[in-house]
Amino acid sequence: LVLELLVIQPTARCNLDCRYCYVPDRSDPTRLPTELLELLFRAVNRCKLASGQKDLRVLWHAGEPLAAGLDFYREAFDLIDGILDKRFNARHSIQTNATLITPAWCDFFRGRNVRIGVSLDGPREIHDANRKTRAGTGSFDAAMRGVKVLRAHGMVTSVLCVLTSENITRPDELFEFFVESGFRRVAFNVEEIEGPNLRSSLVGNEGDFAGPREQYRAFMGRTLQLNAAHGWPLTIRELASIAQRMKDRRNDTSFVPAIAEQQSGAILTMTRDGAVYSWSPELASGLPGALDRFSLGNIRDVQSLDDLLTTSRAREIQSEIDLGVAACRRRCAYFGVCGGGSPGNKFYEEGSFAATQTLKCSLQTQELTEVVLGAFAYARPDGSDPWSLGGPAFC
Amino acid sequence: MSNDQTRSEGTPEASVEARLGELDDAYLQLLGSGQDLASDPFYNAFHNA
Repeated sequence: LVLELLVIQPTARCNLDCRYCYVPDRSDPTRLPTELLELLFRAVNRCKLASGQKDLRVLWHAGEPLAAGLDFYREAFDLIDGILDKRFNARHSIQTNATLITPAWCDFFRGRNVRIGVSLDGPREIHDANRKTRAGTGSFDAAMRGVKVLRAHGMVTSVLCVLTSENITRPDELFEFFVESGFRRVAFNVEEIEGPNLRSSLVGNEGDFAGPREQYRAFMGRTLQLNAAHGWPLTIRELASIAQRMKDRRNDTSFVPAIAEQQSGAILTMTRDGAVYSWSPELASGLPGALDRFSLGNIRDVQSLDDLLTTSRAREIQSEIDLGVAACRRRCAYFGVCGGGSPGNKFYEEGSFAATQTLKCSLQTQELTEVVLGAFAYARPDGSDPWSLGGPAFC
Repeated sequence: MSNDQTRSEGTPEASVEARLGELDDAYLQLLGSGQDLASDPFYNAFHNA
């Protein structure tokens, strides 16, 4: 077990007000004091969990991470470098809405080798339906302006697209937009139920998953078909990820994916007040009226991160997560390519880490597996061009 | 929300495993198996962001 990912939320503040966001208090301007950042990285240095590793992945996630300001990051990175002192090779990445990017930010990103992911939901009309400014206007033009600045500075960006009721029925438009806009790596998250986002637009009032299952399968099937027919211009995270799991499972029938979100300490998240969380990062959003529901403690109160992972609370949560994974193993036909799902999704949907099936795994594991298996089955019969856009959809 | 309606919908495990066995690595490579996803910010970009 290693510390695979350190997530830092330097502020909850965001200049946008996206309808589906899972972060609460996004108008709160409070910023993480650098003293707490210092405590965090000193605790990382002392952490037994990380004692055998050289690489340390750090993800700056908020809110809008750039809302913390460039001066904050300059000071923070200098501080981190000084504390880690070459013990770890820290690899930083930032997921941003791109609207605040300037040439000065790009100089910083390049100088510090920071990788950038941009959140875009598709062409203007689709993107602006959910990703709005606080004044209620669309953010598409500002985001694309930021992408242009990044590219002018030689930076390659990947895209994170949230699938909602607005865009899940429009795979052709999304594919054309991402390819023609010059993106090469795209991830499609489904709109999840978590934090303050208490319902997903993908799920109707009746609450069952039949509708979103059908829509997701059609979307990913068509996207796979388009990507193949055009010579594979996009690397699509979901397809690449499930393909790797399928390959691993084929090569070793006892293989089960290791899911960092299920393992105490493998992912740690610290929020602007120094509270530390493990497992799924969105657990830092807490529950309405109980924001610290899943907090393991505060960085002010510990010497090492190990201290947070050995509390009775941490053990209770881990036990409940393990029960859920064991139930998935017993019940689900797709366990061999899933590994038992996301604890955060289980709790936010079912109120328990011991739950099993969620909206996310129904779509991004079960239906996705069927898309990949179905496309292969379709491709085999007569040996003709299996990816022809004139042929029937795979799904 | 209840998931009960869908809990028994999954294809039987033997069928999933059997169909996995019929795939070939060249096909999975086209889909992106073997790519270094962990170096990309989107690898870590969980959830509605």
